[in-house]
Amino acid sequence: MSLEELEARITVLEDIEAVKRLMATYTYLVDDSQWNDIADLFADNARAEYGMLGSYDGKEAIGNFFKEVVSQAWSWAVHQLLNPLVTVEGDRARGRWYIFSCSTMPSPEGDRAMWVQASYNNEFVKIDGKWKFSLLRLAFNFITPYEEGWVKSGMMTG
Amino acid sequence: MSLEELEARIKMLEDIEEIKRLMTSYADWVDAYQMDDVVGLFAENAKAEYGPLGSYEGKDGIATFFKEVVPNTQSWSAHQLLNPTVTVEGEKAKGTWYLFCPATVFRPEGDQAVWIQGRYNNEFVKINGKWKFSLLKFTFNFATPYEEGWVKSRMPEE
Repeated sequence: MSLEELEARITVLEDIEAVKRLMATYTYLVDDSQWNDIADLFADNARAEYGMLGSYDGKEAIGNFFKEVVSQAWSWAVHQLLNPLVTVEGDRARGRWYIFSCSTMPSPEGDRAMWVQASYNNEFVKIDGKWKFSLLRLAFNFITPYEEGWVKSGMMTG
Repeated sequence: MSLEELEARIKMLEDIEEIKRLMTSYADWVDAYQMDDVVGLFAENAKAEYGPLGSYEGKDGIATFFKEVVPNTQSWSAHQLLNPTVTVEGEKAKGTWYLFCPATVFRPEGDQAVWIQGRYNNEFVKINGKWKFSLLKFTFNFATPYEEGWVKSRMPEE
């Protein structure tokens, strides 16, 4: 075994950790409403597919999407990540997570507590040693009022 | 690239993993009421800040919190940890986690199921090769009765 082989193995482990950290950093920025800082997590030609909230191409469009659309979708949320599965291949990576979100959404009756469950199926690219999103793809499983539950209301798949 | 450089990179990955294990051990031992083990995870001059539950300095102060305050507040909890980010710089480190914790708390009218959600912003120090908490700082987002949810009742009144 050579130093090069060892280094390659270490790099993969570091990259897996970096991609997981990028995903957690993304959730903290979103939950702290740091809309101006989110675009920097994306590659210039990245794409975001956010279910019924639309699809967006390019860092600028994605930045505006967060500032203008996402910021209005809820008044408060915590995007809790579970079940990470990250695969690194050189300068590219794929990552899947579950999201289990507590959210407060505005409605005609006033603010409502909502449970949101969704899947991320993302892609990443390493640019100048830093990992960025190349594809952020979200699929909602349910968005249900706290009082109802996902059988009575809000199931979006199946 | 040298053996020394590779070893330093491996050490970084090991430190990140050890800090995550430390945090999981904290959660497991708090939930199991193994409070001596919990206190053993803290440096001598550590601080613990729990928002409305108070701030505690030094291992003795922290022991008071775990052995007297916690058992008088709740009969059961499951400290579920999510969204880890760990950053190591030599013999110091910082880590953030979300907590999503079902718990049973004491109320005058009887046991109450609550959902607790919040964020840890912790700091760690490596002492004689072992990582310990230097700062455990927990900020509540909500502690809500199961029947209510975080919009109807975000935090207890008292």
